[in-house]
Amino acid sequence: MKKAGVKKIIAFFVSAAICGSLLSGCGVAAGAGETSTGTAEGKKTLVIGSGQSAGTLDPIKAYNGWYPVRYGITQTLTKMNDDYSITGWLTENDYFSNEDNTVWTFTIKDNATFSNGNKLDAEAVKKSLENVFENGERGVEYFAPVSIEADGRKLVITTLKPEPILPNKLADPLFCIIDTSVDNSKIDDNGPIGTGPYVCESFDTVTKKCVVVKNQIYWNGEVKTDRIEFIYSEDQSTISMGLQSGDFDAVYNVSMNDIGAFEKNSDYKIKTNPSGRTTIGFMNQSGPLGDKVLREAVLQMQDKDSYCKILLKNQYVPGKTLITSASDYGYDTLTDPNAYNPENAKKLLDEAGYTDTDGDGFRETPAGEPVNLRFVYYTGRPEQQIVVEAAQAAMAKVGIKITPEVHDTQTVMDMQKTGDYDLLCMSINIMNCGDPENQINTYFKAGGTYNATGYDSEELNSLMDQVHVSADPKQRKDLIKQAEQVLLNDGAAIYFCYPIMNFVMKKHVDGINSTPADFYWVDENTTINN
Amino acid sequence: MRDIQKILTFCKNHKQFTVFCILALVVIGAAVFAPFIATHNPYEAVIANAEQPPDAKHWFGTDKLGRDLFSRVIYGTRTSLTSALLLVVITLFAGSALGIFAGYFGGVIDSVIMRISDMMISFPGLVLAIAIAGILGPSLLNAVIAIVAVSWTKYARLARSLVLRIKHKDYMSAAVLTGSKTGYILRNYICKMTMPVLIVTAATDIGTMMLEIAALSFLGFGAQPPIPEWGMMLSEGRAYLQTAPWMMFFPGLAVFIVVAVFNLLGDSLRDILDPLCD
Repeated sequence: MKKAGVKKIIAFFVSAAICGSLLSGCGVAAGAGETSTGTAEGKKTLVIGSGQSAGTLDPIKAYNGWYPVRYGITQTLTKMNDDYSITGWLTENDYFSNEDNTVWTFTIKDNATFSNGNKLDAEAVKKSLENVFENGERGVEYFAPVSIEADGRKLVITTLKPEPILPNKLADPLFCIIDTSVDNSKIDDNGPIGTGPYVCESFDTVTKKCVVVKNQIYWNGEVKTDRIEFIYSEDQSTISMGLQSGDFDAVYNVSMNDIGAFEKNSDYKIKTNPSGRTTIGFMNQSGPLGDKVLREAVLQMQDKDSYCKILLKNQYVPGKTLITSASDYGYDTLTDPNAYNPENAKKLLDEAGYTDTDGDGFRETPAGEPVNLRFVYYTGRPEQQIVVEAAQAAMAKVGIKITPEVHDTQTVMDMQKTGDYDLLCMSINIMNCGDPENQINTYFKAGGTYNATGYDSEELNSLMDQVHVSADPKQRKDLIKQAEQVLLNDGAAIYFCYPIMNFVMKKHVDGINSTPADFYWVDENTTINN
Repeated sequence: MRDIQKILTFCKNHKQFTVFCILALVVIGAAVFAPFIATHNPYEAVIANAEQPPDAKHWFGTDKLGRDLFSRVIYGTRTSLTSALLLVVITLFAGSALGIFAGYFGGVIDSVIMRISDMMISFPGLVLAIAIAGILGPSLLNAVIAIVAVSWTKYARLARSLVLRIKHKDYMSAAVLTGSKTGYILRNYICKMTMPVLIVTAATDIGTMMLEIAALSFLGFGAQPPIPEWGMMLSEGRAYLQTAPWMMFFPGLAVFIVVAVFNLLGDSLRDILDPLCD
């Protein structure tokens, strides 16, 4: 009896100890109640969440150059304004060219310096630009320099062909100016030395977290924030909830599902812009989609109006042309021969001999081969999963099997380069230089770095060659519209939608920008007012 | 007549087991008769109906593409139950066979199998399953293979310990002395003696396996769109938690109910079958 009593007492204390241990985990962790906006040691820290990041911070690799510019580490010679016009950034506005646009002269700003204190002069710019052509991969798609000459602040670029929009091209983050006089062997992790208002403190190549700190000697005024952390997550819910919980002070591109909650809440403010982006479904013509009939059927099954109005909650504009409806490149005037027409899509497949011979509910090719199109996408942009799955459901209705395949952004970009897909969803900022020439060349012209679809149209190639040397803005626009029509006629890609980009931030955050260029996120005026 | 009387008596004596057995049969019935129970085609996307809350037409509401959630949850029973049962059966037989061989033959066979088993259990199960599923590529079958690869060790260790316990019994020695062949001994002595315990363990594992499959699908390593699978449906609904909570609620409820039923059924079965259980 006595023994049983002791056992009960021991059992009680053990139970109490276990319960106590469990409950201790439920307590609020130190500092968890505070918002991310740090004021520790009197320093202003800002935390920005995003579903976008790069593999490294080396600007000449792939599209990585966007991130040093987005993070305020580097700047370009010229800058794209919200109306797609170009002005000087590290160069004065007095740049000019000779009559045939083969020799351009720039004057580097006198007071500009790198964040390590090195003076920015024409020689440093020359070395940085040469680095793009010598060690990068996309430079020659923009322009081919015969020579780059430096003399004090004067920079003279002589090109092989006429380059009427060279100042636009130099606004691309690929050409952001970095200090090449320092050891850049660890640029992937440490980031480049640039001229921007922030200096890279760390970049984790696994988590993609980037921390930048104030450039104490910034050439263009006082930097108002001491430290900014850029947190990466491709999970849209995580990003939105992080902003709601206070872990983030601002979030880039909140999804259409969550934006409504922030619109109704006065504790947040939202900056939006129509952007130069197009969400494109690339069709690889090296596989089953080499058959134009199948491509046309895929295109004619896409009810983009419903996708945008219902599934994407009017946060996107239905796509029609390659170039966004937000700019004047033929959205209202060009003709889409493959507009939504499900009946005709079915008819096309029937007539071409695509039939379900094995009774599995999906059609086989006229040769009897099964059709299973791999649709590669990433979740870093909120519209992608929806449009891919909507396309899958739409194609299932006419008996074409699509298998979605999700990867992280960097992997999808690599797959786009190698052509390892049937369909691939990618959001492209066609107007990122204020002009679509470069992006059309990169993605659709024969030999383009990211044109692995096998698409090679003599007509398009010829039109883009003419665009390259054309200085007359009206003529350029006409030629580009013609090129867009060629793409539409060839059924080259699905233009799903044009996103309305947003940056959502707490009401006390200022100076975070949402621009058509999409790579000017923070500047010296970015700050927290609390 | 006498048989029915026997069954009724058994049910009367094992009320708990009977209740959970009936519930499990209801779940299995839902899977088998899904086409008759579902009100809509679970794959049919009607964009105009996207994210509709529950109403008379769509009892559980609709999902992001306008598919009927009730029908998807019902069809999800097929996917989840089939994959969980397949998983349990494969794990039971593979793990038990390896454990019995290790225990009965001993020596090098025992060392090799058990060291591999030790290696496998030194990693957290689900993490290793995620790694394997990641290498194999996302699909329901690969998710099943990944979980089998990390779950067989439990059965192997259990089977081995059971075999070691009976290996040196007198009746085993007698069987050997009377010239019984190894295959005969394994079939008629070892398997017969170990299987009840292993089957009870497997029965109690059905719920756990179901959760693991759902977990892998939730993380994107299991079922792929548009297959109706509860874990994947939970994952799809997560992005809509604030605007359309029913997209997570009903698949979550289905997982909860079915896992609870099979766990409790397993417990009841153990009470009846397990000779080692007090």
